[in-house]
Amino acid sequence: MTAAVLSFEAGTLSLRGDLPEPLPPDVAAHVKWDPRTSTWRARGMDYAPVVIGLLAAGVPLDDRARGFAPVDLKWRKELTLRPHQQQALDRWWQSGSRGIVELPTGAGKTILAVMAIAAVARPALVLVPTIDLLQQWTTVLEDFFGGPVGMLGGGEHRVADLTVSTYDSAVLQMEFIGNRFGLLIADECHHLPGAVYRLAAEMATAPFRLGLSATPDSGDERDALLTGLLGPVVCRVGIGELEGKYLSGYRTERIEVPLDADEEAGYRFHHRVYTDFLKRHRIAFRSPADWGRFLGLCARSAEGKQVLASFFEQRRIARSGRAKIRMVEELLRRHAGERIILFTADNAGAYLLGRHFLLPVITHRTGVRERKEFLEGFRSGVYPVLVTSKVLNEGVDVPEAGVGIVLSGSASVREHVQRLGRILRPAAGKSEAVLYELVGAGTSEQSVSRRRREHAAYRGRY
Amino acid sequence: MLGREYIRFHRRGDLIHPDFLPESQVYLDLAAELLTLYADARDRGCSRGELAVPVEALVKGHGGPAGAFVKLIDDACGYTAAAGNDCPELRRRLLTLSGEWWKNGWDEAARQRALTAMPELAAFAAGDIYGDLPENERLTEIPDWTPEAVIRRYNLGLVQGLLLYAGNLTLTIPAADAAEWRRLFKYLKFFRLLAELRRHDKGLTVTVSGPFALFENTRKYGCQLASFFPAVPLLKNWQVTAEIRWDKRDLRLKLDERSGLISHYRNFSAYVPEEIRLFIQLFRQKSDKWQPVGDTPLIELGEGRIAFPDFSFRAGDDGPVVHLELFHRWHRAQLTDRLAFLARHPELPLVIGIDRSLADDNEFPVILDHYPQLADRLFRFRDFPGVDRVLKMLEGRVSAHSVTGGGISR
Repeated sequence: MTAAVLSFEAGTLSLRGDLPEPLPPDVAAHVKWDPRTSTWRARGMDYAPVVIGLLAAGVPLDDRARGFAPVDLKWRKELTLRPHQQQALDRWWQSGSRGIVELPTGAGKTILAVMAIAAVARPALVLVPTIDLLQQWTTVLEDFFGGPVGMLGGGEHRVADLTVSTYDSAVLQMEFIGNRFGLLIADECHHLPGAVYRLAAEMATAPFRLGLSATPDSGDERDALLTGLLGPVVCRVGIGELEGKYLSGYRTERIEVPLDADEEAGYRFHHRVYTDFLKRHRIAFRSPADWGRFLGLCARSAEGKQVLASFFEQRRIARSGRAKIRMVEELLRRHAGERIILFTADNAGAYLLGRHFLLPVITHRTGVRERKEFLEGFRSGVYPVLVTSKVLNEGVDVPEAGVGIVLSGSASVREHVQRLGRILRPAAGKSEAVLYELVGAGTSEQSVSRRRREHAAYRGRY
Repeated sequence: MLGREYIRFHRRGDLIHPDFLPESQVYLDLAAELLTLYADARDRGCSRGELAVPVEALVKGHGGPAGAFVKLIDDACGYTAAAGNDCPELRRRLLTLSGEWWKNGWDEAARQRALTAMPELAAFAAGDIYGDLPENERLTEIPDWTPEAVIRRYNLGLVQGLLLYAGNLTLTIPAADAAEWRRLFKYLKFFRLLAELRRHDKGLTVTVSGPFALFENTRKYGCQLASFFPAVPLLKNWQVTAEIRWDKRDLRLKLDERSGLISHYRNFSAYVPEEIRLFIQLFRQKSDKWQPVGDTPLIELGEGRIAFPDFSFRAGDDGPVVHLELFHRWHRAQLTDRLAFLARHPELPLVIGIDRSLADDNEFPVILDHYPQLADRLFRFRDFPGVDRVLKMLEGRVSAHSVTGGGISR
């Protein structure tokens, strides 16, 4: 009997050659017959169970799918894990090197991942959601293991034994490189179950998988999807367990800012135009489809276009009215000499602050070079204040930041927790971090604020 | 390509009928007005922001497909960075200074002193310090389209916009025209799509999708399907069906040659990368004996499968023809098939080039071990083969033919 041949093809596995009929049940559970190529086919992520199933059934196997081998990773730095990191690593290892670790921002997820890479000793691919994290992870891996570290995304296309990729680039490239890594690490892994992003994990053959997030749970069907892609949550550590020891102490302050009289009148007028329209058309925004319906109705008539303009205007006033801008100025003066991040809900708000106060702004439009310069300048203190919309919500390591000011944001609990996480990393001379949340008094921002604070991190705090 | 907000169709049951536009005067005038507006804006060096004002007014005034026309035209335009490439450097200097001013809770006296001493920086601070954002980019190139072309691209764009939400596409074509098949399959290969072929008495049914489509109705290949679609109306007779997932509903799109669609894909060469054009050019310069042949033949692989070589070359005016097929990193399955087929059919005048990213220094010897009889037909290249190497392989085939009597077609 010659061998069964397993090949990696564009994010899938192709199984052909001498195969028993019927296929072993553990293999049959993962493959489908593909009439286009007259082969059995499986998802890339099913590599391990298919191989194990064939070998367990005694089928000789010519494994051409596996594109990685053990690597000798040279350490350039000694590492000592903190107790919570050691506990997380142990549990992940005991779970067959598959699973998700929930750690608060600043608790050392990257160091944990570095240890996991060293423990597995296989080529590793790290998935990250943003360009900033791409650069940050690359720097860390080069620091610990030496170069060169591959990068996919932000105009870079280099694949190496250790590679960092944005989720977007990974989806595009996985059909070509999906079999070259033994370990897949998904940073901020709550992004992974999305209809597009999950392909990055489904097309990869890596048997070993590690998910990292401060907020992995969605409370819906995505949780089961995430478990299927990476494994179960194997360790959870909350902010409360680390606050004051490995994370900075913190307080939150919610400031209601009354609108100026003329803006209040404008807000009321435009808000009424908008809400009357919603009532007339019985739109309650209970599902994502309602937003599409609203836009569709607005596009169909001159009145609808006016309603849409009113919607944007009342939102603009609530998010970045003049009184809020004055409050930002007051807080900047109050915390002069400290490192401050200003968060906004949209780019318009971010550039408004940047122009008004002459501050560096990072949005998705900021070029790679300038983005790097702004972050480095913020860390070194050249720029004591940094403005961002959403791109710095997650993961970026700026331990020097001790003050956060949320000018505006969504109702997302995850976003609000992640923003708090930006200022919680411990740093020399940093005693207590503070997160200000500016809320337009008498506007819809009040209910938005209530919803986004429904998390343990805000419980019992003002 | 048109996004969801521009897609207009009506439904009968679950059948989608795109609202194709006729080339009537009202739409031709609208397209002409927009093309004139863009040409004028290019001549005046307008920014995106400046152009947006009259464009928005025109779109609001006309409604209907005007927004989609703008999207199609704008996507084909070229913009350059806003004037003042020194913007990031001026910004860096200004923000570094403002960092100092903020460290003390805003030092207005220091600001005034600094800007008085640096007039260039003062002028920059007085303007828009983020003036190099995309809305300030200047229009420099517009597409060379007629108003009719705008409408034709719009109609194709409606179908492409729907196909972004398709998992696969089924195409039925008559069996007769091998040249049409060839062109079609080159597009499939170019867009890295897989096809399942079924022959029947009316011709051929081709189900087009990507490898992973077997496991879930992923939209990953929607963009490739949409990019492939303009190749279809180039056929004389065709019928396309596709399942479209739209607003959580499963709808069906059904079109044929009577739908009135006109492709802007004129011939495949328009979509062949620059290196192929250069390869042919260099090949003609280097070889008096061998010349590229315009039409490559189809090769029946059995089980309803068909392959088309990438190039065919003829020795002299009426000498033997040898075909060349190239395999890149995404062609692993096809390479395995082709090697097995060629081993069974040594008479086929085919040489095979394999990209080094598909067969590295470890893997290539394994292939040669498996198929020692094909050793003189296989070669490797990096990204694209060199002319000298290809000529050597072609000569090798002729020599082999003169010895074995097989493997050359006339």
